[in-house]
Formats: sequence, structure tokens, C-alpha cells
Amino acid sequence: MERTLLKEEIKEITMPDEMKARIVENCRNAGLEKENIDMKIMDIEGKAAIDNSVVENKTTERTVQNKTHTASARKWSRIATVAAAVALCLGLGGVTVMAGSGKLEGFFADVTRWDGAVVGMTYEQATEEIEVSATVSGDSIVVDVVFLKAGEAPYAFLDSVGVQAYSIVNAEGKTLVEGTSNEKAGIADGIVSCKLPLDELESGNYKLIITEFVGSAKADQDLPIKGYWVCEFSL
Amino acid sequence: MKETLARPADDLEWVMETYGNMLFRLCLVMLGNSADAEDALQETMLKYYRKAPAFTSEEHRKAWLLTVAGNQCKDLLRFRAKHPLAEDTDIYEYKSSDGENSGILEALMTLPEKFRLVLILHYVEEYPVKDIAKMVGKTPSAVKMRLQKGRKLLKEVYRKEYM
Repeated sequence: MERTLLKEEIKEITMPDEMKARIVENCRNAGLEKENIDMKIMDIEGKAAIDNSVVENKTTERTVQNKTHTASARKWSRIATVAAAVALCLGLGGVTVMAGSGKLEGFFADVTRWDGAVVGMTYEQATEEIEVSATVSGDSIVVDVVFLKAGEAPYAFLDSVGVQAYSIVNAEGKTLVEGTSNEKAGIADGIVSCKLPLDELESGNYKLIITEFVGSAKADQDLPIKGYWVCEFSL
Repeated sequence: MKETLARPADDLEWVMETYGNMLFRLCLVMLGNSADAEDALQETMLKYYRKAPAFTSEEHRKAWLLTVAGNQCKDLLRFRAKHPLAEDTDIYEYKSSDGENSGILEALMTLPEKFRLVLILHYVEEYPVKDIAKMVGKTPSAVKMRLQKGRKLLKEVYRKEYM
């Protein structure tokens, strides 16, 4: 009796149409997001020194493809392999030189859930790609943010930016304020001015330390941009 | 050469229409609340979208989906064991008819998940023991034991609490 009853009652359970639509939509978005991330990463990597090696590689590959119908295809293939290896060495050498010069570049990183599923994305190590200065205006701190690579990902894709995590430190190095801000401001020509609330502080010199910005783009998940920026201001 | 069915990217809506209710039922009964069921189902569909194998038949596709959904539910249950939610079950909200509740679903929800899974696969989805064994990664005799114990427990709880 229990078995029949169980079957009847469970068969009556139906999933709402809006839930079905939501799941399909989310799956498609997740698929597109992955493609976009891949494209953005490729875009950034394309700007690096490796770019040269890839171009040379493709040129060599194309040359090889044109000749595959001839009897000397094998010979060209060997030459192409050697050329690709040389180009790759040169490219990697370029990257090493860049790293050696102390120039750090930002990179995209996945945010993973407890089971390893990717649920978001952050942009890490952006310290040297953003310049920050702070001034006091009335009862707020105006943070002027300049994106040094405004034409590149992820900055080129962002519509607005806000200060996600910051702290204010006094002259003795004591942290007086640790805060987050939900306020975002629109980007114009790679520059954005964000306002942070200024709590009751005594006159003196302070340091504003920002560890995370958050960027927004239309129809896209917010992108945390992480780094370490310090600017001074006086009251 | 074996003929393969349509690739996942082309038929998400179709799969949701065809198997959505079946998978939702399984996830809801396994997890007890619709929010977790939706999460598990979404993860299942994402896996289907991203890395489903080339299916050789419709039965193959259905079994693959049920297996993945069952595993997702187990993962989520493990997570919930460490991070419990104070949510009551809302399983009755998703019944299509407004008939009186017999209490059988509530009785089922009191059973451990390993019994719930095999009971649903066998008595609701009507899978034979050997197929269930493949899906849950156990031997057919282990599945038979689970069915037997599950039936017994369900009967006891239902007759004691709801009759």
C-alpha cells in the first residue's frame, strides 16, 4: 500500500515553469561567461610578449599548411617545429625579463565553491594598474581612481566602479576605520571619482588603504578587483 | 558505428521539459527543500551542458542525468551536515493536485537519504535493481538490502505516525 501511495504522491510533484526557465537561462549564461572569461584571458595574454611567438607560430603553421600537398611537407614541418620552439623560448624569455623588471600584471582568477564549481571571478594583483589619490571634501573622502590600462580588460568592459574594502590608519599606524562601500561611480575616460564617508576624525594626517575595488558592467556579475593602494590625506 | 543523440548545447530546454520534473522530484525528496533541490538540479544541468558524454540512447541519457543528480544531492547533503539550515521541508508546495496529504512523503523524508534514493529509483522511476546498482555504485545485493530496509522503515514510520 505504501509503495502505491508513494508513487502516486511523488508523481504529483512538478517543477514550476519559472524554475525550469531560470535553470536553462543560468546554464546558458554560465556557458557564455566561461567563453567570455577565456576570451578576456586570451585578450590579456595577447598583449604580453608571448603575442609575438603566437604570431610567428601561426605564420609558420600557415606556411606549413600551404605546403602540405607537396613532397617537402615533412621537411617544412620539422622546420616549423624548430621555429615554434625558438619563438616560444624568445616569448618566455620576454616574460621572464618583464617579471624580473618588477612589473606585475593583474590576472583573472576563478572563485570556486566548496565542491570546486566555479561561481565567480576576481581580478587579482591590480596594484600597478590603478593609481589612487584621496582628498577631503566636506564630510566625505573623494577617491580619484585612474585606470592606467583603461583600454584593456577588465577595465575596458566596466561601466562603474566602487571601493569595496578600505581602512583608514592614523599617523601611529593604528587602524581607525575598516569599511566597505556600496556606492559606485561611472567611469569616464578611464577615471572615476568615488566617495567614502568620513567618520568623525580628529585633525591630523591619515592614510587611506584600499584593498579591493568592485567593478560593474551591464548584465554581468560584479568583478572584485584586488590589490593594495595607499594614499595620504589630511584633516 | 553507434548513432549518438543531440549534443547538450542544442537541447537544454528539451531536456528540462522531458526530464525536469523527474530530476526535481528526486532532488526535492533527497534534499527536502526546493532551494537546495534547485541548486542540485542546476549543477546537474550545468554538468550536462558542459561535459555530457555522447549518449547512445534515450535511456542512457536518462540514467546519466539521474546518476549525476543523485551524486549532486549527496554532495549537498554532506555540505548541509556541516552547514545546516533551519528550513522546514516545502515538498508539499510542489504537488500539482490539492488533494489531502496522506503523510507518506513526510514519512519518506524521515528516512536516511540512502534509502530514499533507492526507493524513488525503484518504486517511482521503476528502475530494476541491477540498473540502480550501477547508478549508485553499489552491488545489486546491497541495493536489494537497502530496498528491503527502506520499505520496512517506511512502513513502520508511516503506520506509526500517519495512520
